[in-house]
Amino acid sequence: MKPLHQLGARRIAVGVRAREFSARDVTLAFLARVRQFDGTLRAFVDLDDERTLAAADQVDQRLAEGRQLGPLAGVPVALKDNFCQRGLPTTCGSRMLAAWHAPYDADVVERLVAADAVPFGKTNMDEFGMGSSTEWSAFGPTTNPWDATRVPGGSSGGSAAAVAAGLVPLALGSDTGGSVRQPAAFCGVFGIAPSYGRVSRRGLVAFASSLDRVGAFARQADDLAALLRVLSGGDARDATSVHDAPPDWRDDVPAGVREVRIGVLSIADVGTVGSSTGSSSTGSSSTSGSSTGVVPAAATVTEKRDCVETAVADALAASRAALTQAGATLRDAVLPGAADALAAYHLIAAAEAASNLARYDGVRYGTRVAGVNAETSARNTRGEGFGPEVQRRIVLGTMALSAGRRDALHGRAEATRQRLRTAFAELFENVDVLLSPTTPTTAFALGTRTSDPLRMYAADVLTTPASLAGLPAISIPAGHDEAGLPIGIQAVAAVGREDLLFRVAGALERAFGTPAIPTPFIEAVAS
Amino acid sequence: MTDTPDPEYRIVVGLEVHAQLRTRTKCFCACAASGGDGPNSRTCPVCLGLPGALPVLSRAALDLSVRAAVALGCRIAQHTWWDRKHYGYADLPKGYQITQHASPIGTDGLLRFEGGDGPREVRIQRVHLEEDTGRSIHDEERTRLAFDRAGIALLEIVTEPDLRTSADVRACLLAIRRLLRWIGVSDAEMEHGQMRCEPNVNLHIRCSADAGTGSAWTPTPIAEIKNLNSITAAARAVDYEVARQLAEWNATGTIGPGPRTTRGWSESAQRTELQRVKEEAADYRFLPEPDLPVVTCAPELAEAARAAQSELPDARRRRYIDDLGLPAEVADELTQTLALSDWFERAAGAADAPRPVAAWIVGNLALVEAAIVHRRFSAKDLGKLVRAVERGRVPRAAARRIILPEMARRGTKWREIVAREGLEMADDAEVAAAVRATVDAHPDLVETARAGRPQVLEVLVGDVMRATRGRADAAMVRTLVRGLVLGRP
Ligand SMILES: [Zn+2]
Repeated sequence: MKPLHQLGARRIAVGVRAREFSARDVTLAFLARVRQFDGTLRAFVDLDDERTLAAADQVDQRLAEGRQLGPLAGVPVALKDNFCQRGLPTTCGSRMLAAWHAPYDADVVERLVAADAVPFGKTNMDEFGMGSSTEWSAFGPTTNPWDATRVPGGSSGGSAAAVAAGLVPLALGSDTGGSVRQPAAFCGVFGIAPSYGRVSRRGLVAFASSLDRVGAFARQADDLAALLRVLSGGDARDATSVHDAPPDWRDDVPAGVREVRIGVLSIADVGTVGSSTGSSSTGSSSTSGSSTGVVPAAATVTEKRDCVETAVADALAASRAALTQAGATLRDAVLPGAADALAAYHLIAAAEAASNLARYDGVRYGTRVAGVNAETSARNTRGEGFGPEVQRRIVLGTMALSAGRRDALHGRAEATRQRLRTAFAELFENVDVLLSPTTPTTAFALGTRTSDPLRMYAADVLTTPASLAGLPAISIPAGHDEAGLPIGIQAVAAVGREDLLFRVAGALERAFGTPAIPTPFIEAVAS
Repeated sequence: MTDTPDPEYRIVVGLEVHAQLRTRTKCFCACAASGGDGPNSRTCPVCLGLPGALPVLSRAALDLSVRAAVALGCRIAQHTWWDRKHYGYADLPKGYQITQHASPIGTDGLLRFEGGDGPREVRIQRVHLEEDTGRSIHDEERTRLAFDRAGIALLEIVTEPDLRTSADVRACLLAIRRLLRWIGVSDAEMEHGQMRCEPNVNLHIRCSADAGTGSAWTPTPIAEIKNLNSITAAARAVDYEVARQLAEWNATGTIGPGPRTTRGWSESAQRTELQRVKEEAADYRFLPEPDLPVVTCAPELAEAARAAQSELPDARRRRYIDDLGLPAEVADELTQTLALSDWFERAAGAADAPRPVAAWIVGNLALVEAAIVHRRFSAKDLGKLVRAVERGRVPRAAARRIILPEMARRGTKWREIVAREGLEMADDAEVAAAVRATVDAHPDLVETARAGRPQVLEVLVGDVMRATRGRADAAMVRTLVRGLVLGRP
């Protein structure tokens, strides 16, 4: 048998149920991996061996009592550090919450425990989810397991890196503008953002409530399907959750793509190497032209985005060929309004973030900086407790909602979002799935974009349209570039059609192979 | 007085009323809306605004809000949603309040009520549902926070500035309170903080300089008055504010609206005190609440509320006066609560005589209200008793002094009391015998009466009534006594 850490999640669950090995054995194997590699990777911000083993022992205990175990029996699942787990620190990568321990379990934590999974520590992230590299964590960056000089993507970089490096078989992330899909692409694993409302947000610390989705990572499509099914379902305590019974997507993974209509996003919409970018110069970017210092920064994001790298364009072509081979119908597709998505996303997300983060005023949650009165104390606390990127977004979000600017900023961004929804609805009359690269580039080097927010934001140019429309979207590993860095291909479907995403993911996994645990990284650590 | 005479002016008052809805839980979480065991015992992650917690709208709060909007004659929103209103205060746990800014449940309503000296109308600008905030408890050393009120469902009612006297302000607040209780949406006890009101007061003054044009009304700056803990205080504060604004006008002659101010009512000083001046409207950066879906069922709820709505107090009061011929004060009294009014109608039906029943109820209000609460006797019991009295079968005095108190005390049926105490009316022969015996026993009074002082016969009438234990009709006894002694009625 392969070493335990090489096994997929479903294989582990089968083995635990069959008493081939215990949940404790599994947890010990992964804890050993973390001990060996996480000094370099820094994917975890909190992982307590005793507590984790105790959770595994409970699963073994239930099995010993003769109880039927759930679908994730004994499978370790890491949580991004913005999920509340009772009694554990939930920092959101922020100094502001460094001392805060959640007094309750997130809905997804309850569901994982009910499925007999083993909650396996908290993973690193960009502060409150704001970032695309995990460099904006107050606790230092996570590195990419394929190249320790590169970022893992973000904001769920810790979860993506941990799964990619085989430190844990499954992990949860959250995806607001691409925070699961983009790091999945950079780290070479599967990452899904399901339909908005499919998974309860209760206990996920809010970044931008109308965009936040619980997402998940796995190294195999069928493991991801199994995990998503456990996480899904209506929650009476999340008014935006959808009460549809989740289908069993595991059957979709091997189902194939015969007669699935797939539209491939015209790269011209994004900008290819050598071409001038986008349509924002034609005036469709509705928010440019303000004289303030912050707003144009967001408005002109689309003008500064990356071109799609050749290797990424090649991977898209290879995916197209593989899917055609597998019997799908492929055609070119355009998404009108996609060029405006990034700017609209940043305004909406910042507005909601400014609102959601208003509660951190130094009165509660532990971090407090003194001031002559409550107002200055709040200001000082926020000045020290929040990092620069969060502060930048709060300034933008506060402005986007301010009297006099509200209609021109937030109002127009919401109008863009509405147009984009319509464009997607029309697109999905003719195709079942929209295929594109997940990101224009592969993982960029650590430290190269933190001083240039616009380039950092550009990493999300392909993921934000589906975020604004609340559509299910998956990033699928599709080979590597010349430097050996993973490339991700994104598939987007209509609301509720995760089944189509898993069919495409299964077909591409058969074409490109199940992603391996990166040997270059392991050799680097070993040497 | 040597001062310049007061200019011609009119008082302009609008009201903002907050009422705590009668829901078991808070507005957006499952915490109890009342009770509890000390500070912060009625809290949970949602109403504490903890990271990751999400609000879920209470269906009961929505139902009651729609019911109130319907009773206030409002147009009901097809789409209604909630907005986050941002401001920083330590007892505001999320840094924003969930309220309704752009899409109140109800708009453009009308409330009719009985003003200081006649019927009045006040237009209702909006009715919406929002959450309460926590409380800061300040002492010398520190401020403590209690979040038991945070998230409690509040109905906000905003009127147009249609009120012109403090008496009307008082009457309007009484009418709002009565209506909210009548339709069961709020207990509206101001002293328990279940109802709060903030009048916006200013004056429109006719400018002497422009008197020739006849239309130059200039407004004084609007003052919003807070900290009112009773309806009486609200009326007094309006009176105070009118005098203050007039004095300020006379002293400064300032023309023009000026900044809005917030003034607090000091109960001890009986005056309003400046709290803050709003140079420009605060920027609350309203954001449609992304955690709560848009509600589209308000029109259907309103339809159901309309179907279930009983006659409202003002309409009922008018019907009592116009159709039943009740005096206005009696009609007022009987329409204070739906329970009393309905009880009156059942009693009136049983008696087949609304006016005497109304007089009995208003004359014995404490007994009747206790009976309603403790169910000692029913409306039908009282109605039948009144009917027996009206038809001369039960002595009126005995009914009032003996029967009704015992019904209230012990719940005994009035027929039992009548039978046990032998209180049915005496027959003619018994009355005649009692008259004869009494007259025979007082020859001295008979002589005095016959000597030209017939008024002394009232003593004999009283004796006969006593002898029959009130079971005779006094007028008839008087006729019999006079006939016997004087030979004429
Ligand atoms: Zn609560």
